[in-house]
Amino acid sequence: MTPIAIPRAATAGVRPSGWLGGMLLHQTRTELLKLMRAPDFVAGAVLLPVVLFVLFGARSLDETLDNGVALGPLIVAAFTTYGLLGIVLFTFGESLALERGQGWLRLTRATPLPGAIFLAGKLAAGVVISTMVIILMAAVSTGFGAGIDAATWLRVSGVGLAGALALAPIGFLIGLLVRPTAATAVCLLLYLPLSFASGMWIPANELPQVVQSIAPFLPTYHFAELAQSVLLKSSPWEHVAWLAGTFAITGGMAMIAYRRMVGRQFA
Amino acid sequence: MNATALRGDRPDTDQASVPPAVVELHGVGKRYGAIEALSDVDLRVNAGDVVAILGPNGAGKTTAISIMLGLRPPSSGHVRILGGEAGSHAVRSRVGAMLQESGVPATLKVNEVVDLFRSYYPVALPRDMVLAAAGLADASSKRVGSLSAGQKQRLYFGIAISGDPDLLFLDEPTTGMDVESRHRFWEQIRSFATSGKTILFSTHILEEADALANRIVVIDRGRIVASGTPAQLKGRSMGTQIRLRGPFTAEEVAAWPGVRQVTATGAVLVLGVDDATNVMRRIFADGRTVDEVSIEEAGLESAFLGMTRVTETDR
Repeated sequence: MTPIAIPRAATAGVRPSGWLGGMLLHQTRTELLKLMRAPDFVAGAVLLPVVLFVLFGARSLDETLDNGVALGPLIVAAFTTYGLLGIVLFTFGESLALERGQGWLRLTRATPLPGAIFLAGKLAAGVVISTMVIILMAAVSTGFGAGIDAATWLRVSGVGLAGALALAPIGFLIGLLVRPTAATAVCLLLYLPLSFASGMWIPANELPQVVQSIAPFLPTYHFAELAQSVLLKSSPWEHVAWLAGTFAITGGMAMIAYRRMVGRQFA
Repeated sequence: MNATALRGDRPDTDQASVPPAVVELHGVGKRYGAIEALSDVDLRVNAGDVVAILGPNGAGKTTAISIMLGLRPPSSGHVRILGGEAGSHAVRSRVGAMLQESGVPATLKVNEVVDLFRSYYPVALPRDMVLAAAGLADASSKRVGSLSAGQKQRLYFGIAISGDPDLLFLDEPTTGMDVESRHRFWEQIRSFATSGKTILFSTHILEEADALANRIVVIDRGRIVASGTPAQLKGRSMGTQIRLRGPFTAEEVAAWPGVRQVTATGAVLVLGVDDATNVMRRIFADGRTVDEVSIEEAGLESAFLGMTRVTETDR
């Protein structure tokens, strides 16, 4: 190793900042590699929603509701939101908690990587994986004859991604607050009941009465309803308001949790 | 052992041309609730120094390094790193760190991890140079999960130097290494130090501090109890010891010139002496029958034990 002279030691700020775009690209790429090489993540968060759709959703695709609306597209949209919720919980919640436990987070905090870029990399990776799930769901459901045209798929995808981003702070909150060893269990215990109660497996109006009365107070219910409102051409604004409020409140809480963990300014 | 006499005994600050301070701690303390992890720590590290923070487990070494990295705020006192605020972006760009219990996702490959950390720094060392310095050139496409414990430690060292840091922090860098890989690792640290970098590492292994550092700061129960070059610390210890068994009392021996300290262990007197020759002469000139006498050069080991009051089994 060739000796390297110290540039004017003991004077601060002699080095320019790194290129943030390059950092974000690297961070996103690393997140994707890390997640997609983990078999349990690929099976649980990427493949399982499609498998469940094939097992439970695909057989009712031809039915129509009493008001003449085709059920197929609604089922596909519901299972798509189920897949996106899993990504919110597992890429943001579980993986962040595990990294906290590993000391990976602490190590990056000793580097010049801004905390915002670390989190943005996770978000970007989440968007990429969500898009993969949407494409997979589109391909499989088209194969089963769900009958959704490309333009409608684009609209459902856009609304679904926006809704998932609104729920993202819930994932980060889990990642920041839950004990690393308990993170997987907590995510599963939220994932399954929430997706069931929000009408992602079976339509909300076919749920048990008790669950139906709770559902309108779940942000995930409004997430599922928002995606379906695109197909029903019903008013999305109640659901939009719910998700915006959820984003504001949980986002603020996640910010506080992050600052408490870091113990210093967000930078 | 008079610990207070050693505090602030830093000959390097008295020299005419003082090199710039890379680390400055003034009266730094850290409390966790009722526990005082660090108290009143003063430390100055100059550019190009290789400093060991030596102390038993739980002495406050990791807390001190966390504060210098800006990962934890101090409860009291002032910290300046490279002339700036610890943990500020400008400082972090010029600092590298190897922490205890840091983990890298097991599914990533060595070269991916190195490239990721290189991307964080405005000035990064070439990937091949990092891999060579970490001794991982042959393992670059291996997944982190398949590395041995020693290889993982070396990867963390590689990560720490990837941003070409002016100041390198290593917290117990050779934990979990066997003797052979530990010696190889020392070579890597030495080669990095020859490039003029400032290195501050913590260890509870005396041999490690002696082998690498040009200055050792001994810390115990959150306080600096001694500081100096390895040679100075050895000199500050009991010095030479004479073990003596014979018809002598501790009181009369303590009065002899050149005897600094006497401890009686059963029939054996242990004399801490400045000059063994004179005291030996005195013993034999006495005329009484000496049952047993031996001379022992005190090493850093006894200096360390004297300063931190820990027993062999504690460490």
